[in-house]
Amino acid sequence: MTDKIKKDVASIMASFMKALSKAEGAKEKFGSERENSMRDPGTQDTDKSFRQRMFSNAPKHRDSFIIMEKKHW
Amino acid sequence: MINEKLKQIKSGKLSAKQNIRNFLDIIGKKNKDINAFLHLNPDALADAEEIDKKIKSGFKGKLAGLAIALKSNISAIGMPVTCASKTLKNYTGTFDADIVKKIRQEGGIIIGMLNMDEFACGISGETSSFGPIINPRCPSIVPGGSSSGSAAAVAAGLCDIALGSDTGGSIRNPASNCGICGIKPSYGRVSRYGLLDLSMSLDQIGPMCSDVYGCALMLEVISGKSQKDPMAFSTPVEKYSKIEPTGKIRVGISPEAEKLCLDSRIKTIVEKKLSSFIKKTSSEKKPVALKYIDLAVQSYYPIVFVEFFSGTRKFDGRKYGLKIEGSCGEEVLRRISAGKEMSKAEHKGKFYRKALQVRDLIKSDFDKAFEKTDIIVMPVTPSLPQKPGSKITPEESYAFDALTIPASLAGICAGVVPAGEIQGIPIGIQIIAPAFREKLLINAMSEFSKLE
Repeated sequence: MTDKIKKDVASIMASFMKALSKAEGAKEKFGSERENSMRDPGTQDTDKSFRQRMFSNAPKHRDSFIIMEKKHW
Repeated sequence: MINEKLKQIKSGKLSAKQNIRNFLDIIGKKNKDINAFLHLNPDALADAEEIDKKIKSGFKGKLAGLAIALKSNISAIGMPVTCASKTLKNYTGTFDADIVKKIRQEGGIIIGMLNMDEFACGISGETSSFGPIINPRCPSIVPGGSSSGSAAAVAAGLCDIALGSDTGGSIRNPASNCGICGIKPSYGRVSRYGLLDLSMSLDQIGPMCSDVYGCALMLEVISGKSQKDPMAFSTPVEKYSKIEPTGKIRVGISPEAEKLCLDSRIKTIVEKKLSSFIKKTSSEKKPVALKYIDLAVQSYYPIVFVEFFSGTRKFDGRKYGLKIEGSCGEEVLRRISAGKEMSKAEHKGKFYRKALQVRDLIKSDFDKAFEKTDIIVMPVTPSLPQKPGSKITPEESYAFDALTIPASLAGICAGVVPAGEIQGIPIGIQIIAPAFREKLLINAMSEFSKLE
């Protein structure tokens, strides 16, 4: 993102936020608020053997890539 | 006129092949100055020959023999579907969009792919990676966007009917600037399967033509339910091409929309046209309150930015063309960046969800208005189109859609017909009807288009 675009985006967001905050009567009619809806990647336990199993199942692999014809695996 | 041409083709006075040949000749002469077409179908003449054989055997396709051009974000087999972007410069369509299948079934001949604002991100016709489009009606102003090539091709007589896409005004804006007719159907009237989306909850494919009949006929062909677009409704498709007088109806005028129109000359043209319509049809004029219309732009763009960011994740340089962030133009990158920012958890509730709430308010405004009126009339643009090459800020360019965005947010149908000129610059009038009342819309458009 260039500096000009960053500046444009910041300006657009500021002006939109100011305008939208004035909307009286805007009500939440859909969805449900969940406190913990965002995944926190830091607390997930990972299966250390998963990578090994993936590569041993793959027909062909090189370094960190599985090499396969599209839609055949 | 499309009706006349169809009669000529049906009677044998004009063959489909001759029709296509005529257009290819004109395109050969004019396109280099207008840059409306990016690609011509090399099989157009062969396709036309096939249609001629079928017509001789009794084929009665609604579009039989007509030259149809597609905006370059609509997929057609074997045609470059570039969205006027370097990102997809080498991408060829692998399937026909639902609307393309329907066009072919009715004997329409795809003559080529049209230039546009890159990925439909624009209002002027200047952001294409393959050069700007010139307004053939008035080269001193931009043709409008993003269906710039579609409008220019029709205005310059390079095809019979063009297809464009409208998210917040991308059919209506260029139709007005180029002095032609265009329709944004109700959301869900036309299948979006095969349309490379700008904003999936707002996009609609629609027709553009020099007359209302051509738009009506094309809309009749392309409308209807689709197995492949779950948002294409099964509401029955009426015979839009059977245009009838409106008779006496109630016409809504919004004082809030009038305030958004900054040029009094545009207001005068629209008012004059409306007065003539009222007089001719003995209709009634009623004021309607569209209280939240002044927030339409600020509601629309967060929705577009977030949905566009989501929709462009597939352009990662693996399956389709190049990685978009490394190959697109400035406006596309700006929208992706804004969508990425606005979708972040730290901005939760401030943009996208707030914008959806305001969208509901705007829709509710229209629902209440249509309890008292049959159609609503307003200008297409708040000011005259800019000159090519003008330096305007992104926010100034977004504000240009202030009068077309509301109908998009409400998911209703809207059309444009020419209304007059200011110093040679075409000015359109916008007619808005309730959702799935395209028949009423078209009848009203036809009535307006015949007024002196």
